[in-house]
Amino acid sequence: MQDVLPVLNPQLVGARVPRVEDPRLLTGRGRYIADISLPGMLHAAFVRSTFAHGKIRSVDTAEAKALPGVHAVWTGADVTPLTAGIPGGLQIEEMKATVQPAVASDYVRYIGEAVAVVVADSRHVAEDAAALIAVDVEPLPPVLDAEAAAAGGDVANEDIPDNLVLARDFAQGDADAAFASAAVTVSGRFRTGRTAAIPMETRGVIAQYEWTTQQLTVWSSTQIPHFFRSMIAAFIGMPEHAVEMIAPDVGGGFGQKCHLFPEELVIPLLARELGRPVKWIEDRVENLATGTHAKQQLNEMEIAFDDGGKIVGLRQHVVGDGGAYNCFPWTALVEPMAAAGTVTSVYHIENVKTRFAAVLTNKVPIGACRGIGWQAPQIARENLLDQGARKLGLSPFELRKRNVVKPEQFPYTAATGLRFAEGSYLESIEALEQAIDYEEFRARQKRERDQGRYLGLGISVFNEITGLGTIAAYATGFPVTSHDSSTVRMEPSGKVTVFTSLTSQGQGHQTTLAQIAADALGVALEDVVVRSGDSRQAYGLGTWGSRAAVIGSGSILRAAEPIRRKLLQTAGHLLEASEDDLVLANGRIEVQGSPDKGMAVGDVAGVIYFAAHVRPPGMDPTLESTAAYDPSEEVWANGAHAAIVEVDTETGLVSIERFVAVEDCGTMINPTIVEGQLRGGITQAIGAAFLEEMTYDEHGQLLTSTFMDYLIPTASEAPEVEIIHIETPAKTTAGGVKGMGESAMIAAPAALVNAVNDALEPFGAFLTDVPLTPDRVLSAIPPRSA
Amino acid sequence: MKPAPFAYDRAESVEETLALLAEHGDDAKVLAGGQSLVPLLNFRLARPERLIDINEVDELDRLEVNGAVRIGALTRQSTLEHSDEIAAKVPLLQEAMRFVAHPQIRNRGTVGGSVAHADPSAELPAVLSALDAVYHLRSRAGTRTVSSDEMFVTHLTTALRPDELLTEIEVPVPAPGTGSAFLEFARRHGDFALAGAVVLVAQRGDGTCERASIALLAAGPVPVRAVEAEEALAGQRVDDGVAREAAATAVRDVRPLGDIHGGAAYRRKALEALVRRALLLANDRAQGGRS
Repeated sequence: MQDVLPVLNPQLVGARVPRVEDPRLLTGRGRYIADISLPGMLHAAFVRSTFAHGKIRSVDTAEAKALPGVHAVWTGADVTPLTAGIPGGLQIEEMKATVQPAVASDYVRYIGEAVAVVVADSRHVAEDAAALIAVDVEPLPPVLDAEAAAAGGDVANEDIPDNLVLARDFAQGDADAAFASAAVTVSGRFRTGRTAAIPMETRGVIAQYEWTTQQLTVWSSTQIPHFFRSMIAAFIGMPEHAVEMIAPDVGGGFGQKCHLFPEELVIPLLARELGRPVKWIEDRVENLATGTHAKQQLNEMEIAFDDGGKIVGLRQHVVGDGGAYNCFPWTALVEPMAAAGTVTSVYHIENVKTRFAAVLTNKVPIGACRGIGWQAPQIARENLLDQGARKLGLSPFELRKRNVVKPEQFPYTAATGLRFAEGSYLESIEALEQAIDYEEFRARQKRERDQGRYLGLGISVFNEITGLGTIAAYATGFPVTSHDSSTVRMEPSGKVTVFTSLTSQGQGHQTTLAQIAADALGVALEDVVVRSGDSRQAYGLGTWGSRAAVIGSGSILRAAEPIRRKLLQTAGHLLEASEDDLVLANGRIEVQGSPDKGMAVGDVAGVIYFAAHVRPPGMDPTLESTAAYDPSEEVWANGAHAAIVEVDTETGLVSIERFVAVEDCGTMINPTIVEGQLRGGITQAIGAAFLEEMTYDEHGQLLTSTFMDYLIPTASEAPEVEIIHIETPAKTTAGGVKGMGESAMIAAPAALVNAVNDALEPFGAFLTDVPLTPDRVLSAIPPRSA
Repeated sequence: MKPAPFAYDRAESVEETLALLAEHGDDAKVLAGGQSLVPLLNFRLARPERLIDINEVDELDRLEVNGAVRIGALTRQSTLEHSDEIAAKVPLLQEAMRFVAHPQIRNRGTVGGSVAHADPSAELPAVLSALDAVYHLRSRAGTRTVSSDEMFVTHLTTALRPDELLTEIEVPVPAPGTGSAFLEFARRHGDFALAGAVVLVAQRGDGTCERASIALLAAGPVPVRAVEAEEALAGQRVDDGVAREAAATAVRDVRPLGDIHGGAAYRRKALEALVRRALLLANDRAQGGRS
């Protein structure tokens, strides 16, 4: 689909409008899934595997079933006849699909995999009963090292004997020849830790089945209610129109909630069986162990330069640790394939050679998470560029300026095949350099080093593919048709209701998408309400991939256009004026140049609905329209981040002195919300760079099963962020907007790691295992040199 | 994350608490602020048959400063943190309280609870150890007073018998002119310490050290007093070299437990750095005449 959009006349777009959802969300009046209580509701608790890998010998549920207050206890044997589970695969040659059982019946393949489920009068009783279930497992060797598993050996998932979901090579140009003749080469072996999205609200599912109508309603804390409604119907064998799915207020997703999970099949099946609503709210221990994990990659990377600092070649080898099953729908390719496909980023590199492998292990499936596959290679590439700059005697800014795609090169097709229509790559670096005052920093760094204080500067230049539609999905290797739709309805009073499949997990879509709709129809912000999260309206794929700004605004603009035309047609008819002479703005339609000759939009709408004798003959008296949007090009945002840190060389602790972010997401719908995304993302990046790492022991036991072990950044860790905006509008999107929800989680971890490596440069240290824990930092410093 | 079933008693006096403990002590846990116990219950890591809630036992919620500091076991950590008298008499206590988790937790968490929980990474046990505090324990059988050495037996284990209640902590006020410092490292502010050091330095008129007190957090199964280093400091003028030597002595025999946040070797290095820094800071404050 190649969608051409109506022109947007920005009035509210670009304004720092306060978030309309905040009074509700900030006073505790949001309605999250745990807040939903239905008459007769029962509560579920899962029994989860305590073995990373094993064959289930038996599951003894007798004692649990006998506990008063227990209504049902199901094991895999009960669930398997009702659903085959979740098939994870993509239409890619040689790729191997997996099937994740809804409840394990033969093998367990990660700690936390469900082996039984209890439904009881209360969650307390359900957990008491769950504790009475005895699971007998014959342990099998756990596969925990993806790199070793890629070469074979022990099998993580019996259905995939070589542990490989997919391995693929890519080459453009002649990288080997470029390396052979290079003046300077740098290389590193970077490991990024296994992290998790950690939404403030955990997952949760409620299902209700009405036997009289055979209707199933599923409430889930999900990012994708529409598409998953279709999938739930398919996977549990119900007609699609008999299933509805509702995402109420959702307290953060960050990608974790754009997967279909086993619980979303099991809870509906239980509700159907029991004839009573069943509720399951994930607790934090479950979320840490069984919500998808994220990011874990090995990136071996080499970059070759000529003597002028020009990058002549890049080689990369990525291994992604996918966990035990392909997540649905993204699969284990979500990290390594994205890492290989976008590795050249903003730089003009002609000779590229990549290889990636997506490997199964006995860990929870890896899934999408803000900044998906891009974060890890960004860390590798940007750190290696600084190594190159040191070897070449160039400033890191200068090296990058020599290598980014220049303004005159747009539109640009990268060696990877990605296409950038426009971008402010050079301008972003220059803006960052000016903010940092590079020469002054180096002088201060030297003075401080002489005093035993170690400061470091790290920069990270990035682009981000946003508004992921079909073209962008295919371009990054994912053969997925990807659009969303919105329904715009003008009510008889002229007020506007927008239904969209772009759900919100706290990003402020009720504000930003209302800004778009208000501008599209020339009405005030308070005249628009945006509703989402309900499969009964406006089908789509939901919010992920920094898509809501681009695809939400595009679909709203397209849906609003027939309404706008109808309003103008009707007003022209009533005012006896040509439609071309009419102006729709500020809630009125007026004849250009004659402001006294005009009508309120609400009056026009009222005529269309209620005045058959007055409205234009033959007009259908509706003001409701649905349209989809699928961008006609890849939509790339870009920017550059810099961090200045101080490393305590006696303790390995890092403090952030300064953080500067240059952001170019095209036309900003709402700068306040853009800045909020940046501040939040940079704080999350501090977790990725320094704190967060899911750790398994040698038996596959998860050691980071609580917030005492898995450390996430809090307000105490959030730095002051200086933000510099550049606006390079996209050529094809509504008003030129681009997405930017993931930019900070792509760019900032690399800047922070780079800054630490710069600080430790006098020690010859170069850290490549992320997160940079104090222990790792201190270990990189030779003894007594501190 | 729901606790296993338990019986619940709310005591309203020390006598009533002691009676309940006499009857149920082996199977009961005392609930004070609940900041450690309730998570343990929810994880089902602790499964007591009975909780004896002492939050209504007002006589345990008191803070007195006359001669010594007497801290009732139910005194909230935030009360200690915000007390002007504590700030004036034992600034070390106030300084340390700010490292105890977060304000919300300090509002509920009690001083006695932290002591009775006996986590060797916690701030209060180490600070009280450095201050030579004593602990008043009561049961129906009688009253006894123990030192930090006696109180902290090992990881999460105290000298409290099943029928005993910690009622009061008595802290001698340091001599005027004593300098003190509390330093700790955690990966995030408010987390359990990777390493921590508590130092008090009392100086003679000539600026040399009359008496030093050094306690370490997260250095072993209990708060560790660095006695050898303390003795070596007596009579010395504390400069960078002396501090470096004292720190090396202080950590020479400690065996911190490593975990995913930091290995044992890392923790030892961090402890050494902290002792040196805290010693210099405490000495500096003593010179400044700050008590």
